Amino acid sequence: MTETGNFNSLGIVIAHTAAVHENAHQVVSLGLEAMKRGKRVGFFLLSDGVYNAIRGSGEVAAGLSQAISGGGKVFLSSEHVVASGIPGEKLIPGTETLEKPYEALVDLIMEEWDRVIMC
Amino acid sequence: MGQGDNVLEEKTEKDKTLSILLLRGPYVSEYAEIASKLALTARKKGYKVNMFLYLDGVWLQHIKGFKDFSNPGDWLKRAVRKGVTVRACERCSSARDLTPDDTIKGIEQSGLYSFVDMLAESDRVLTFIG
Repeated sequence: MTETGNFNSLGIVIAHTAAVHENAHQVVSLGLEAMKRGKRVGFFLLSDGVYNAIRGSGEVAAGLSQAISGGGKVFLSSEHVVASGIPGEKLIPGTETLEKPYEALVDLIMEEWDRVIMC
Repeated sequence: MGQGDNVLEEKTEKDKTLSILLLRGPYVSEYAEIASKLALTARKKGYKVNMFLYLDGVWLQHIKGFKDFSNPGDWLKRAVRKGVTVRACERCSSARDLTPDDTIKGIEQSGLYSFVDMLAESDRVLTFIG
């Protein structure tokens, strides 16, 4: 696949579940496509978005697993995982739960990712 | 503005700008709170930060008295005190009968064109619209 665009890394921030609307599904598909085109892709799940990281919960979770398998990163906000009551063993393997999510997210947005999509 | 609230150590200042567009009001989703916390955190890390409140996002500036529960407007207030530039759409505020007396001090009511200026100087833009 030809590499396109003038950026190398893409960050996707997801704050909703796929159950609310299709955006979560769409941006995960978009991220996977970007990976196919040679981009580094990271997903950051916070607020209700952390529900997408429950293993076996649907197509979005499957897409995130696929991203991890392909070298993508999936970060989770610790405070939202705790608030949601999701036990660690139910999370997709390979996700990284961050204790200071806002600090980490600012670093990713400002220093790591060339482009950012909010969902 | 509290004493020292707007002062960051010079060594922490970074030459990058983050701008945030918020179209959702508080208590609809967590967008308003997330946007305010991100703005505050980025500012504390030394970035220049702009926020533009548009459509129902202007409700975020509508806070007067103390609340004994978590209030996204409090996070916005802290962000303003730390030096985040916050502007609100004047027409959107007017349409909702929000007056300067209703809103957080230090927030300028301005036209949408001022958001274009924010975009022009930004290294990163986050849009909270969904």
